[in-house]
Parts: sequence; C-alpha cells; structure tokens
Amino acid sequence: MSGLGPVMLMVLAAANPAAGALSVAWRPSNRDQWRPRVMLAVTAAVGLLWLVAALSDPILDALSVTTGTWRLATAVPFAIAGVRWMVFPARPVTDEPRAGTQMALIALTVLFTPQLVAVVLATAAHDGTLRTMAGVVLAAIATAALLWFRATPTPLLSVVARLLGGIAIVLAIALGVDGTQTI
Amino acid sequence: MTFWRSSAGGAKRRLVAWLVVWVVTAGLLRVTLAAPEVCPQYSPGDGQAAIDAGADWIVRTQEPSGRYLYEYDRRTESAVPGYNLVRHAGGTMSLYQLAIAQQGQNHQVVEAADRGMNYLLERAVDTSDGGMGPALSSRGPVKTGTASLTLVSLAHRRILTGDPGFDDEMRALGRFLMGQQLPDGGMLNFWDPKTGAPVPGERSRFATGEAAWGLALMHEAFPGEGWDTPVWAIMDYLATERDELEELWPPPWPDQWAAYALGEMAEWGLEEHHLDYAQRLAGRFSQMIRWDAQREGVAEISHLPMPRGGGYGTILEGLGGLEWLWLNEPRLADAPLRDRLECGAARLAEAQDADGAWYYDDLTRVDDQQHAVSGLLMADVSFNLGGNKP
Repeated sequence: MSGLGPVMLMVLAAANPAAGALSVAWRPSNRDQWRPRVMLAVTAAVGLLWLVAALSDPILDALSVTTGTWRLATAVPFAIAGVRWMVFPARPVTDEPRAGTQMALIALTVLFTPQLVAVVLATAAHDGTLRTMAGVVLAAIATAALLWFRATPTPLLSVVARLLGGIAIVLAIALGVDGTQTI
Repeated sequence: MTFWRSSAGGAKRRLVAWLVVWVVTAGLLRVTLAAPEVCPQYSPGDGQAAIDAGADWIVRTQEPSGRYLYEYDRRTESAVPGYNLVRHAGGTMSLYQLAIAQQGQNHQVVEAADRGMNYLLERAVDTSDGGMGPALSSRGPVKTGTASLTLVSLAHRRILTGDPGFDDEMRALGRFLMGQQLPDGGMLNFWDPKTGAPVPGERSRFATGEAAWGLALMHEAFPGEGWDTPVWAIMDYLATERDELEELWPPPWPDQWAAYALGEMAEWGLEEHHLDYAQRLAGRFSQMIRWDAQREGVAEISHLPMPRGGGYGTILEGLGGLEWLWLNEPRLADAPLRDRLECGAARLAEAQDADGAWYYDDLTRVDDQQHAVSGLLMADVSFNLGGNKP
C-alpha cells in the first residue's frame, strides 16, 4: 500500500465525501454566502490535515509509537467508520445553523474526523506527505463540489457513501495486516 | 436519526458528538493498540552482564554428567521432574554460541558445553542409512530437533576449536536429517527405533527450521558435499507452503530457527521468495517486540503478560539472525531491525532475576536461559560485528 493510487484511495475512503455531503443537509438560505463558507471550511480542513501530514514523524515520535504500530491502531477507527457508513450512510443536520457553526461543521465533523486524521498520519509517515496530500486534496475537492453544487440526488449519495464504507472496511483490514508485518 | 433531523440544536449537538468521538477514540487507542512503546536505553555491551548471568545459571546448575537442571520452582526451591533432550541440545548450542563470542576465553562455559555434548553423544543411536541421533532412552524415538541442535552444537564447537574430531558424527547427524526429509522439503519429527524408520505423518513446527540451520552449517563446514541441497528444499517449503500446510496462523509462524538459517545463507544467493519470507519474518518478530514494548502503565490492561524468557529470547534470536542477512544482502531495503533488537534486548535484560534466570509464574526452565542468552548474544553480536559474519 505505497503507490500514489492506493494511498489516495485510502484517504478518499477515510474522508467519504458522499457521507459528508449527506450530513450537511440544510438548504442554504443565501447561496452567495454559502459557497465562500464551503470553500473556507474545506480550505481550513485541508490546512489542518496538511499540518498533521507534514508533522507525522514528530507526532508519532511524541506519542512514542512506531509507524507499524500506528497503522495497526488506525485500522480500528477506520473500520468502525466504514461499518457505520455501510449501516447509516446519512446522519444529516437539517436545520441551518449560524455561519460560523456551518463552517465548523464542515471543517471539523466532515473532514477533520478521527479516522481521517489517523489515516493521514499513517500514510504520511509510511508513504510520504505528498502522496497523502494528493489524497486529501482529492477528497476535499470532492467534498467541496458536492456541497457547492448540491445537485447529486440523495439516493445516489447514499449508495456512494455505502460503497466507500465498504472500501474503507477492506482497506482498514489491509492497513491492519500491513501494520502487523511492518518492521 | 430523529435526534439529528429534528432538533434546532442539531448542529451544536453534532459538534459535541464529534468532540466526544475524538476523545473516546483517542483514549481507547492510547490504552490499547496505540499505547506508547517503552524502550529502555540500550547500547552495545549493555546485555553482557545479563548474558553472563544467564549462562552462569545453566553452568552452575549442570550435573557432572552434563545434564542440565531442566526446570526449577523458586517457591519450593526445588527442581521440577521431567527432561527434554531437544532443550538439552538447545542449551548446549547456546553455550557454544557464547563460547564463540568469547573466543573460548571462559573455560567454564566451554567445559559445560562439552559436558552437555558428551551427554548427547552418549545417547546417540544408529539410525537408517548410516545416520545417528540422540534419544533420551534407548527405546525412545529420536527427535529430529535433538539431532538438528546437536549438529548445530558440533558445528559451533568446530568453529570454536577448529577440531575435526567430531566430523564423522556431524556427517552421521546430517545423514539422519536427510532421511527425515519429506519430498516437499518439510521434516518428519520422529524416527522410531522399533520400526527402524521415520514415523510417517508427524511434522513439527520447530524441527524443520532446526534442521535447516543444522544442515546449513554442515554446508558451511563441508562445502561441496551437497549438504545445501536439503537446505534449499527446506527453505522453499518454509517460504511458500509451511504455514498453510501445517495450519499455522497468523503467517508467517515466527520461526527463529529459519531466521538463523537465513542468516547463514546470506551469501548463498537467496531467491526473491526467500527474501520475501525473510521480510515477513522480520515484520512478525518486530511486531512482537513493538507489542511487548507497549505493556506499560495503563496499557497493561490490554496486553497479555510478558512472554517467558525462552519465548522472548526466540524473538531476539530471530531478529538477530535476520539482521545478519540484512547487512549482507543488498537487495533488502533498509529496515529498523537494530532498533527492534535494542528495544527487545533492553526489555529482556530488565526482566532477568537476580539469580540469572528468567522466571514465569515462579518457574524457570533451562530453555528460558538458553533462548534469552542466545537472543541477547545475537543482539550484541550484531551490534559489535556490524554485520560481518565471524
């Protein structure tokens, strides 16, 4: 699991943009303000995830955990998230909150999730920051696009969220096995 | 679902839930799979005192006949009945390893190893096709593992002394092992004196790797005599078939004997599937060290107790054997084997009792000292030699 494609797929599955788009279900009252908020929130999340990726080695050192151990540990929240998406792909917030809360919801609860941060740490330490960030940017663009246009039918998003949930489970198992085999 | 859908405060509750999930996830991981790996400081030579004390336990409890104190209960301060000749051969092997590292300077160790060897050779019985192997009783079966580790011990003795006096015995042991080999490269576990033949259908997870190491040392001692042929067959079997056929899970089974053999074969021109096997073995041993290093503080609730000295020692033996392969095989990518060896050696040395033994539930067995001494020795040898095989 060290090529660019597999790393990007792992990060994308951990982010699950479809499930993220389903969770932000309110109808924006002001379209002109909505799109900058989405951009700002997604950009902030990407910035935070870049920090995590760039500092992966010192973070793991500070935690006194080796890369293999972290990959094994990451498999658990990653797999649990996958199962949750398979069973409950949509957990929508339907009432429109205030502007600041909207951005916090998108940046934190959609993108800065435990499983995504864990996966970013695991892949950045093992496969490098660049490959990891390629996956983060792909996931962020997909999330932003789904929130920006709001044109994808909910049933289709639900199917994609479940599909990514299934992929997350498979990749979590692979990550855990790899963690047990890492020197 | 209703909770999230209906409430006006849904967004705030979602943020709180996000925070709670973060805290719970981080907390649970921190006391289980992501617990800190605690590795005490360890430098080359730090294990020497533990090695000497462990070897001294074996030597001072040995009987004049060469028989070792097999198992000891410190609660009752008495020996536990029973004996295992494979472990006797292993103890002897370990003493010769130490004697080589000390260049024979410690005469007590050399003499104890020789006494242990005499005990084995006195019990050797002739087997089929000019072979021989030690057995605990004249009617009992000959175990492949005993013959293998006797051969390893004699090979080490030959390296130590340069004395060819036991070359005939080494060849007889080698012939016995070849007679125990199956067409797939695996080894049968027993030879039965009643039938004069190997016992069919009974393999051992230990014997195959032990035989590989013994025969690999035979090839090193007597190149050109064809002893490498059965070793290649064994290594192919271990690398490709063994775990599935013998139902060992999770693969690869952490076989330190195979690792010793791989280290010995570092200059033989191993094939890619052997190197792949070596990498998987190294990963397995490393994971065991990493997991054990997490057994500290609160994380003790999620980690089983430390393995007995014998079990832990085998991990270091395996990593030490593979470290030699890594340092001599340019096709293997850099890997932190030495970090794992240091961590494991430090933790194993700390677990030693004041009397030189490694106890588990107040019991210690000769192979606890054997494997721990060999493991610490392999770690130290790998540090000191920088990969240059003696």
